[in-house]
Amino acid sequence: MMMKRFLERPRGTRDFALAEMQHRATIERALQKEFGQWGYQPIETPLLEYAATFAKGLHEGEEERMYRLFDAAGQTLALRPEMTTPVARLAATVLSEEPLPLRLCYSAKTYREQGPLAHEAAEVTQVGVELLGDDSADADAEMIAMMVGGLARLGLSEFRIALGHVGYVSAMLDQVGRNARELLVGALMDRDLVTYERTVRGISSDSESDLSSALLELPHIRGGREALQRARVLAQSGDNAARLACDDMFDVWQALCEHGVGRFVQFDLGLYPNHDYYTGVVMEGYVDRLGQRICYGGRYDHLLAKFGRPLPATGCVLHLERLQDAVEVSAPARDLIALSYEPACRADALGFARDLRGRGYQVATTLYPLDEASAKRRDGVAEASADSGGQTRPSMSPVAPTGARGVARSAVIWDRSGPTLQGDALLTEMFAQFQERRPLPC
Amino acid sequence: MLTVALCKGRMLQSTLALLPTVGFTPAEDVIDSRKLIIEDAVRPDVRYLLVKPVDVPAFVEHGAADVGLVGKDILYEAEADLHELLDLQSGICRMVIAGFAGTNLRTVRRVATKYPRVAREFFRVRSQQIEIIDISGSVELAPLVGLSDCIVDLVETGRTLSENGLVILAEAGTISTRLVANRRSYQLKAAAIDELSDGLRRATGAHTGVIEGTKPGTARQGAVS
Repeated sequence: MMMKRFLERPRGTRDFALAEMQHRATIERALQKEFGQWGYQPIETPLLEYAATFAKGLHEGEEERMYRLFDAAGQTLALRPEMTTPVARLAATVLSEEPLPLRLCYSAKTYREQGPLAHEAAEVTQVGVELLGDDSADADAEMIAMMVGGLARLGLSEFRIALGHVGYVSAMLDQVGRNARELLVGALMDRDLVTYERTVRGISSDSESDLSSALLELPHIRGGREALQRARVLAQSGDNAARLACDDMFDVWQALCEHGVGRFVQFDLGLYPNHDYYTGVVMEGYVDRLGQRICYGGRYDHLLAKFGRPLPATGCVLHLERLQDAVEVSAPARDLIALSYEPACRADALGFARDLRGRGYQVATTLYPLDEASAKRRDGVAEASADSGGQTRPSMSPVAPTGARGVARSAVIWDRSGPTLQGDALLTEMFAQFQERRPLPC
Repeated sequence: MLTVALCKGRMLQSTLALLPTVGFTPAEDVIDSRKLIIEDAVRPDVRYLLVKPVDVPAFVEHGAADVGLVGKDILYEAEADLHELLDLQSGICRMVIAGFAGTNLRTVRRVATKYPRVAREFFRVRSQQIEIIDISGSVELAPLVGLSDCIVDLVETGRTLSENGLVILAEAGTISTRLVANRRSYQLKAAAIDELSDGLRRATGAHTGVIEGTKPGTARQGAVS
């Protein structure tokens, strides 16, 4: 039977609840903590922006995939497809008087309409950082080291950050004609080395020429310092921009080693992200458990000028839903106390609950019907919680509040004969203390 | 561990002839075996997946396989997000437009094919909008029963075409086997993938360049290259 439309989610979106939501929140908090420790401050921008704002930052293909709607005045609005452009707008307006550099972080849902061949979800939560007003290699290195720190904090160890340099590739490709250059850039963006190679060979019939062999070798150069040395050799055929880009890469590499994260990083000179706004060092992160990239970013020194505040900038985002798939679930069981009571005992039960909450415990209180308050049911709960080390699923007894099923570690059942405590000694102790402070009328 | 996705069917024979020359040796008689995962005869860190050709891009894109060997025809249709590393210059056949002799390509409206993207691109660069009839097998039947004006399909020998009274009207490009890699694996297993890629490059003489019959630098505008 067909599922009813009103029960479905739009394609490319997800729901998160219970343990999955807890896992998600744990990851998000860990990243925010990491960013906070590097001095980044959280921001939030609207989910809706004028489409004209994104036109400043996105290329045509991306603009086509925006979800658009119209406001009453006929202006085109868009659900944000990414966060870098809104951050640029914010920096140029609300934050225009703030001292530089600006260190900003966010966790934001973003939306892109899926094509017929969906490679990515329509709804993606980007947890990211932007560093505005610092054009040094140290700023680029900070971005990368912070990503390594974030991934390591999540318990990941098998991951690698690939680094490229848009300025280097650009300068190298400037040596060929405009048409060929466009084809080569397109091939690199598509990661299609066959077309790339064929195009290089098509430029010059003499594949032994210095330029040809340099361009052929370029996308195959990967590694650490030795790769950069190779890049410098190839840059001899290029103009000064290529050599400056090499200095930049060496500088970033050196800083990364000094951050102590060199072993997580490798240069991949063929890396050329499909995005217009990148101008310098670019990065992509991968973990062994996931086939797709888990974070990406880079330097974008020209974007802010389009908003009237020329500032160098670099940034990076992590893909929260992908992290959920890659990070081991380590969230402890919730320390929830399920407290149920008969109507007559409400004052005591709620008083005890308030007391427990004051001590930092989570307490879910539920009224249960008088006539069903049977000892039998109580026994059912007792059995379930006796063997639960916190992880096992308690019985589906109506005594346990619905929202707490499967996670409650302790239970209190309060009927006219008094409270029955099912939990560890600590609960008994807390009850004793509660009683001392307040005599029981019930 | 390096997981290599291989296509069952047409290309398997030529792939199996090539792999051992670069030190990758499936442990069993892959052609006759019913097993879907095959170990390497020598290297404990290598295994092979046998999958339907059209599924290779998905296996590699999602990282279930680190690398794959797959025809450009399938790769082009899948538009998968992966690295295309090398043209193996094997498994070569032609992508053609075929129909009854005398069919005027300029007036073609309905095209039956397994390769809608190729077909659409071929006619688009000729400023023609066509209607695609998506068919998964025995495409030659379509013009015979009036379902379409012509077909776009792969031909190796052309025998099926001629036995059904069809002729090649135009060529859309040459298809060959490609080495593709998952994006994560390309970074995390760089050494193993470079070894395979460099080995295959030497073994196939891929560095000698352009396949006959295709013009360089037309890949992004033309249908297939």
